[in-house]
Amino acid sequence: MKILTMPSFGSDMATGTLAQWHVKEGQTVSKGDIIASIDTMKGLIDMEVFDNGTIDSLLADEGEELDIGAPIAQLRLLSENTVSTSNIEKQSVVNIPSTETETEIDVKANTVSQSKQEADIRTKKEEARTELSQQSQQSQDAQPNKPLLVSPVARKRALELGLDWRQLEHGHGPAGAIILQDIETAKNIRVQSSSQSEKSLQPEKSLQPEKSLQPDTVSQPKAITETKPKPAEMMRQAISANVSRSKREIPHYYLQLDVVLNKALDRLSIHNADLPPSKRILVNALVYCAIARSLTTFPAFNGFYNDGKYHASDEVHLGNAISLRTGGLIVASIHNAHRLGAIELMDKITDQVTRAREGGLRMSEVQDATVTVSNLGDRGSDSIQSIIFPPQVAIFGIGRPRKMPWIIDDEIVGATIVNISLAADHRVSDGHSGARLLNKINKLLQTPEKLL
Amino acid sequence: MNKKLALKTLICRLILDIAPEVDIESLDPNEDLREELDLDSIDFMKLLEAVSLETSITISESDYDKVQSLQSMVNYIENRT
Repeated sequence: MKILTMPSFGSDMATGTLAQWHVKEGQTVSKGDIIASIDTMKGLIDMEVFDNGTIDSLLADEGEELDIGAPIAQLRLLSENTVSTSNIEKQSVVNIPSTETETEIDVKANTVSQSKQEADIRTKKEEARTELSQQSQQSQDAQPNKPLLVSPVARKRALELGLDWRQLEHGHGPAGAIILQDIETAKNIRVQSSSQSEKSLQPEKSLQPEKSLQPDTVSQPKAITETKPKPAEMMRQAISANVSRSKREIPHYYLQLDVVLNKALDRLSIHNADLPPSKRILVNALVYCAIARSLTTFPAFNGFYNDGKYHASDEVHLGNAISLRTGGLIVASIHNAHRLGAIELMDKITDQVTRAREGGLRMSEVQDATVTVSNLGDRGSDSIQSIIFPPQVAIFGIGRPRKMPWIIDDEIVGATIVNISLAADHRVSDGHSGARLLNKINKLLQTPEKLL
Repeated sequence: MNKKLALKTLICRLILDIAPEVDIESLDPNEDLREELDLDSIDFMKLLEAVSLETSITISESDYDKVQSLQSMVNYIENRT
């Protein structure tokens, strides 16, 4: 059995709301199927499943907002249909003490009229959630005195109150699990605190002082938040956390090269002449194509830097930074861009820009870009020097094409120039190879017929 | 005159389909459409596609500089219908 969890669409996301299920319990699913739409500060994103199997149970309700990593469904893998699930059952049993206690209380207090079947489903949900909460807590926080368990009901209540249960040192449930009572106590402390002068207030013993703004804690829910920020504010905070981390951790170096687009534009005007607008190719598609193809021979610019090690990617998943009308941006990944021609790339870019703004990007598209291109458009600025999206190690910036006097074959001619910049991670590559990469992109753009 | 107005209304509606959040009311018809409404090249391409479907007038790439404002786009289409 595989537990499907609330996916993260970037290190800058803390929660997601399950907007809609596209599957039912018992439904067979195949790899790549969309099972749910998740509402995030980046808009509606379609969640795919990465295995073949059967949806065993849905653990989250439509409209429910959950932390990243919270379980939302159980998937019975195709391969395990005939295999005993005793190991899974054992794992669940480990969590039963705290879960049962909380579930019983909850059932008695609020759901007296619930049928046994509903209660069973609920228990199943809570078991899975507690288990996952335990796992995620263990992975997120290695401090010895931190609680390892929180009951789902407590967590839900904490969310309603805007309290961060992670700030509690321990709870009063089995094995120190945080239970509903602990959250209510914390709430009362907060109410009392807010009625006193902040200066004279000493932190309560059970509450740790609010952490200073650290990169690793920024993506967590704020400790004591009275009102939930709006999506645009959340996105701004998330971008802020991401770029701050990048600038702090990644030793960027910057290069730029002016590239003559005359041949590319001439080729495109022939190509586009008799085509309807929707089939026309923008010059950006050619530039993206040249970048993606060049990266196949420059692996130090295409991959992820994690835990002090760099892993180059065999595939180029080209992230396209798309500006959202509501503010902020989202990076959508064009999978295997190095294998696509400019015509296919243009289709992908148009489709992704549309879906980024109207909803419907797929989870895989917002998760796995190996490198990013930032392009301010043909009305933007002459050049842009971008900030790398960690854990990537390079980002390209494309300025607006501009007409300039240029010397070609010892003659001054009119030329359309675009500035292509590269910001790269000096831990992984050097300026010398970065410059070679930019020159390779330039070279490809001088034979545009090969890119179409 | 009515034709111009109808075309203007149509184009505004098509723009709103593509970029629902723009303040179309305050758009100066003689100003650069893309600049004023912050439309990118893909938005503009979609607008031209929509215009082509609605009016049967296809604006070629070489004529882009003749349809930079709402007014000039209206004139362009009107002169070709």
